[in-house]
Amino acid sequence: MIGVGYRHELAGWIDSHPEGVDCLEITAEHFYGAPMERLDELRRSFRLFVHGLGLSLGTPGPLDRERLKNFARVVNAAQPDWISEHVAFTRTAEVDLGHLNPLRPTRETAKVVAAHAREIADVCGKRLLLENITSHIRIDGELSETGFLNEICSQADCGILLDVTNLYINSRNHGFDPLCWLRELDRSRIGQLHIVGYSEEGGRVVDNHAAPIQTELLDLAKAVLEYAPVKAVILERDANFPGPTVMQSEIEKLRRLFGRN
Amino acid sequence: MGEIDFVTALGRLLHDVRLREAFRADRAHTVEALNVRTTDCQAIVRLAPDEVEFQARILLKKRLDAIQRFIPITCERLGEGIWTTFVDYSNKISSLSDVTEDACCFAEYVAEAVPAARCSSEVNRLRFAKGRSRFCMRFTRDAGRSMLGGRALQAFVRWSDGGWKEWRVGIRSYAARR
Repeated sequence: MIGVGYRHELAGWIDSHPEGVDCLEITAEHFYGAPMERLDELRRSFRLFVHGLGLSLGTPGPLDRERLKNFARVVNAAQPDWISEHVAFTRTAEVDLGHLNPLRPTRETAKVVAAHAREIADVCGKRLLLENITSHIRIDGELSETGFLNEICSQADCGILLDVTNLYINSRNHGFDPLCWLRELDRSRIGQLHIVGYSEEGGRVVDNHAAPIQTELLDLAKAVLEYAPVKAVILERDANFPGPTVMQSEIEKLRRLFGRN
Repeated sequence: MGEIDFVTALGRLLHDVRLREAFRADRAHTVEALNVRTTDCQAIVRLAPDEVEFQARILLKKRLDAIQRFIPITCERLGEGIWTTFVDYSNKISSLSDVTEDACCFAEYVAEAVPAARCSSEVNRLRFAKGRSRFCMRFTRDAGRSMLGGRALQAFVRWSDGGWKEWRVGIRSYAARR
């Protein structure tokens, strides 16, 4: 399946039932406190997945009850095939940082994330996929990033949402081979991909979700599709929203790629 | 003060610009002062200050990107000064978990710090969004170019499930002729 991350700015285009779009990924936080009728409408036309940004699985201690309740409410309304969140922390006991930050790859941290992952999957009654994030910070730990992901997924029995763009960005910023990284990952767990063009800023590659997909990302996505049993590829976009023609051509790039596999 | 773990320590560094400056100047001393637990201590000491600074900047940028979607007119009026204004704001108000509330606080901050960039229709909308009232009407001279001279009545209605909607009606005034 090929789909897009649902954003308010793309609603008009999505409502036109664009060719080649089979599914939508709903960002749960965008629907907190909002009417659920829109999800009903979308559910009638597309397969849905629900994606979370702020459950902060890596924060030690209990999950935020209110956020988990809101997340489950969106899941209940969307009736998705599966749900997803990040291997990251967005808040600490003292401060809400608002966005995703890297964790220390240790067995102790893996245990915390896995326990939270199991709780989310249980509360929502859905399979959970965990996503790799972009990190500008290198952190020492007893596990490699891939070992850390495998350990969490094995403990929590969850899948992997592989963000191809995040993998590419980290490989460029931290100087490693993304294909070697990929081969260290448990292929059977990779169920979904994220992809969007990257940007460059201050001598680094960044994921501002504002650019069309570059060729090197398509090449990496192709390698992932050949390696793992991916069921869905989601095109993300959060800024510089293009018109329908460009969106359609982005979808077409992915369709050609997915069709070959 | 009790010991703190890795997540708490990194969170403090990413959140506090002065702490990052101290960390850059003397990592070991800063980590000792933070009282990071023994098992995480060396991992924090080995963080590269440039990388922590860049991550902090990315967090701030993502926060601004999220806010911008709620107050496009205000942001457009701030022009190139938007980043400096936002950094000043973030030094006073830390990231709020609710983006609507964050956007509202920033719009109110701009109204005081850069009055020329204030957009009353956006402030009205955000105040309603973060409040609890079921219905509200506001007059604005700032409804955007598509409205008659920017003057409009904004009507907001909140449904029982918490969702809300805004309607805008352009207003044209006529002077009586004698």
